[in-house]
Amino acid sequence: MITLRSLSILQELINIGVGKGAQVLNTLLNHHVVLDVPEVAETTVDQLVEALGLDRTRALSCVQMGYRGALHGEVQLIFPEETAAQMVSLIIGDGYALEELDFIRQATLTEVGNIVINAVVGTLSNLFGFHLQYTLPLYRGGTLESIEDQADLEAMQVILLAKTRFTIQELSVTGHMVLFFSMPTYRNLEEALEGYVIR
Amino acid sequence: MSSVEPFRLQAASQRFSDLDHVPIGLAVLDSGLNVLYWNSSLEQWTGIDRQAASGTALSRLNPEWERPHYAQRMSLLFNGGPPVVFSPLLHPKIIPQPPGANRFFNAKATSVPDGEGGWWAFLSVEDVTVMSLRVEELRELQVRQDRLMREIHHRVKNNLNMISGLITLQKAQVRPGMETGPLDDLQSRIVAISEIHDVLYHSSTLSVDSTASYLETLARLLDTNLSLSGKHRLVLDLDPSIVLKTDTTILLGLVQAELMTNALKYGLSSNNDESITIRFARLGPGEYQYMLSHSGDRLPIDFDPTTSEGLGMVLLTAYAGQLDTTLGWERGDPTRFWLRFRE
Repeated sequence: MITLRSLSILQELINIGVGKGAQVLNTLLNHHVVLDVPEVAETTVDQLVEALGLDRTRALSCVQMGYRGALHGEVQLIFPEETAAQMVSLIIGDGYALEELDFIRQATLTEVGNIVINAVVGTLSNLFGFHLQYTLPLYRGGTLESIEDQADLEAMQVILLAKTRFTIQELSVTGHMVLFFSMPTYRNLEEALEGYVIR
Repeated sequence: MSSVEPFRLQAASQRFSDLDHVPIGLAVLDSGLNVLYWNSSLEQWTGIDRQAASGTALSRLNPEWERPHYAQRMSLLFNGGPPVVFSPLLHPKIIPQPPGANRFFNAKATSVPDGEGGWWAFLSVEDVTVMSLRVEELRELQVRQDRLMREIHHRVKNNLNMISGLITLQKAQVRPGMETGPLDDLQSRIVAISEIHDVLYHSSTLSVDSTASYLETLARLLDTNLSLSGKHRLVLDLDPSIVLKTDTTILLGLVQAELMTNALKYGLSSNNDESITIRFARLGPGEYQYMLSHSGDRLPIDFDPTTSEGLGMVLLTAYAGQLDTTLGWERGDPTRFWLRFRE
């Protein structure tokens, strides 16, 4: 179980990461984008559905990327699909009121997710000197069950859940960043956080 | 003048030459975003040959790459960092295109070891023009269809309102003392269907955005149209967060039209303290209850909705059946009718 101090440091580092992601989004989109992570919690695969607080039948959009090496796991950024569609519509300014994402708009969400995920993962791996290999970012759609069915959950024993708030102009939406870890490599993160000296 | 040493260009060219004929565009970049390798698909799509591209900064080949976020995002790759994706709608100029070309590309950049302990970036570009145009065509088609559907809902609603108006005129012709009941019943059913078309016409998604909002509008309309004394209260307790499928909402509207018509015509007395209460709530995940109650205990002694031959009760039983449930009821003061159903 991660200590409160480590969790609070992690929340701070994730906020630094998403802040960098927001800077990239600002210059890319020419929109005022603010990202923040007001909450980070540790949970398990069994408690994930409850911890996310999402309806099991709800259509979701997910951008996911795997990593191997000093940390072994997967990071997912999950939105209710209509929220994702609303955000993409605002970003590309197409004026459509869509409830679902087609192939080309899925690619836009994948890029936004890629920017945010890279900023967070990049911040953590750079700071702690973790050497990681990554898979290509992928878009997945479906219910929470169908998304998690495709993840290699058997190998993942610990989950960090970071509620992530996107504010893009007048639109404010909340997604969930879910970081899965195998237990042995999660220890690496815990040790790195325990040894982290706040300057 | 190339800023890359010639032996590096030669090494990259030899190392990646097998990728020359794959049907995706491939470029290898160093940490200064100079081109080390440029395959034949990129030559074909950009009109820039390999010789001209090799050793040149990508931003000189394509000014789009002068935008700071490209260098910012790509910088992670030169430390072996995570892949970077560039989507077609946000990067329509990810690679230079000859004048007049308007192709869509999906691009990804990944780290690749440079063989000397450092990293290069491997930029792969996929032509998604055909798929993108098809998606946009379908989107335009959908917008046109939505517009037509909206127009149809508007016209159907107007026609139904016209019929409802004719019924009002017909009722005015009924001689004093004669029964207007069947015309009232018919009008309520028409109003229920007309209101659904109005909701669909105004909805941005051509579906019911709020079942509660529809039930409320319908309840107030029926109350205004059918109220005899106007002395009763209408109490609505409808969960605004429930959004049911349009078909289910129509059935609930028709149920409400029957129950309200009955309550207004036969259930209430002319006392000031009478009321009709409608409650619509979520009982659990995917489970709902609709209940209409009214003051007074005025059901006939032998009332039984399952054996009643009146058209209203026959319809209510049929609607309940379509929701895969039965109509619940309880005699007393208030008198209650309810449906518990799943969706």
